[in-house]
Amino acid sequence: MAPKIIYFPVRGRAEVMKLALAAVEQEFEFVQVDYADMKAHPDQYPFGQCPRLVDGDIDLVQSNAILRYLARHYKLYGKDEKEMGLVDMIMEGVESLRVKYLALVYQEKLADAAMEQHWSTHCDPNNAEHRNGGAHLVFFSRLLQRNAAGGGKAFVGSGLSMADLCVFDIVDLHNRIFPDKMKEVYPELVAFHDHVASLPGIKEYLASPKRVAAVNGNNLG
Amino acid sequence: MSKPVIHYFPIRGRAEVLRLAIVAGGDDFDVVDVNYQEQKSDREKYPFGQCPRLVDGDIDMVQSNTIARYLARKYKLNGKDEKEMVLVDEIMEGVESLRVKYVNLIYNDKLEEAAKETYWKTYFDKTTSEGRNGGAHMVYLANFLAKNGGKHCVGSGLTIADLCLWEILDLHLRIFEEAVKKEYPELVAFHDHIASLPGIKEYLASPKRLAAPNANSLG
Repeated sequence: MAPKIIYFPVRGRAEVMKLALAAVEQEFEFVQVDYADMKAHPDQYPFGQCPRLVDGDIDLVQSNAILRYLARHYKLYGKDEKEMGLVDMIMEGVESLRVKYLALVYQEKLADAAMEQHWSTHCDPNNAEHRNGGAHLVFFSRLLQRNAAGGGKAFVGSGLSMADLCVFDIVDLHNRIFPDKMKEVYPELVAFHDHVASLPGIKEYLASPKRVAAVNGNNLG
Repeated sequence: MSKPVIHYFPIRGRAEVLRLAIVAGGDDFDVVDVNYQEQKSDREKYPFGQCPRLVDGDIDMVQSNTIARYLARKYKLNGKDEKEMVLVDEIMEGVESLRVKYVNLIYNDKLEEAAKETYWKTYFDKTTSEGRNGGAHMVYLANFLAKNGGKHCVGSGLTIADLCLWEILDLHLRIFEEAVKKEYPELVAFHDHIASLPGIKEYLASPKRLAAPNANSLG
């Protein structure tokens, strides 16, 4: 039976798990969450939040816990303990930046001054040593270059891992709101993004109706 | 075999769970006060400009929750099968959500009275858990424990989920002692039980258990 993703009809925090299933060519079912249902059923939604994944007798919430489960299950977690640690570490780094992105979208509503501030603090490579809560695009640029085995196409080892899909997504989100700056300042991340987008399974998914149009819940970004 | 080495500030902070995991696993650790300059400029050792950092044999990593998961695997504190493992992970994420709110209360709101009141109402008051709280509420965590019999969050033995819950609870007992004891007696019992476990008990009484929970001397 196909795994089921229960979420809002947006990309949001379910996009990476959809990419992962697409990459390993595993069909999945999408069910739109009922908000009242989610708040009223703590057994199924222990934190009152979604996404939720149901896969056989696995039933869990917390997007990053779901991603790690999928990474183990579909061998997207590196080949040994060292690689696993690296995948995990990169996922945490993406999470830090995702939180800043979400504040920009939902709280600042992409206002001009906030956009400038976000780029300056979390994207401008000249400012990477300032206080940014561990959230900065240049960290990923360096990690990509550091992984010689990946040749600019993979963050950990030489094959696809969950780290690649997480970075793909955060780069994708930034490409949408800073298209020119990303191409100019991070050509290597844009090239990485384009490479991942061309992979079998992912390529088909990105062209399909399963790849929903709405990125965030408030239609921004 | 050499001991794992934790590079961090001289506080409990985001290294405390890591220390608990190591001692719960019957092992010991060395501590190095992080060199802040190095942390900000050495991208090999500090890829995100942050600590804690763990060096253990040929493992050299940052990101506290990544380190916690690595230690959980090393010391068999990560659940006995896939079903337990995902539950441990889920609970760790829930603790992280609450930790972010706690850290904000300490560093941004500086524990001032009005902020403390709002904080309790939003993240601890058992009657308000259906409100908007970003998935951060102590009752969510208490529910996992209650569903699993009250002694451990997952399965029948100690896991890193227990240590994460213990630690976030410990921080809140320091600033909301009366209210936590009144509202969550079951968690206080859990806290005391974990604190009495071999390895943990000795650590908590030792000088390795630093006095300062946070860097700004609050909490």
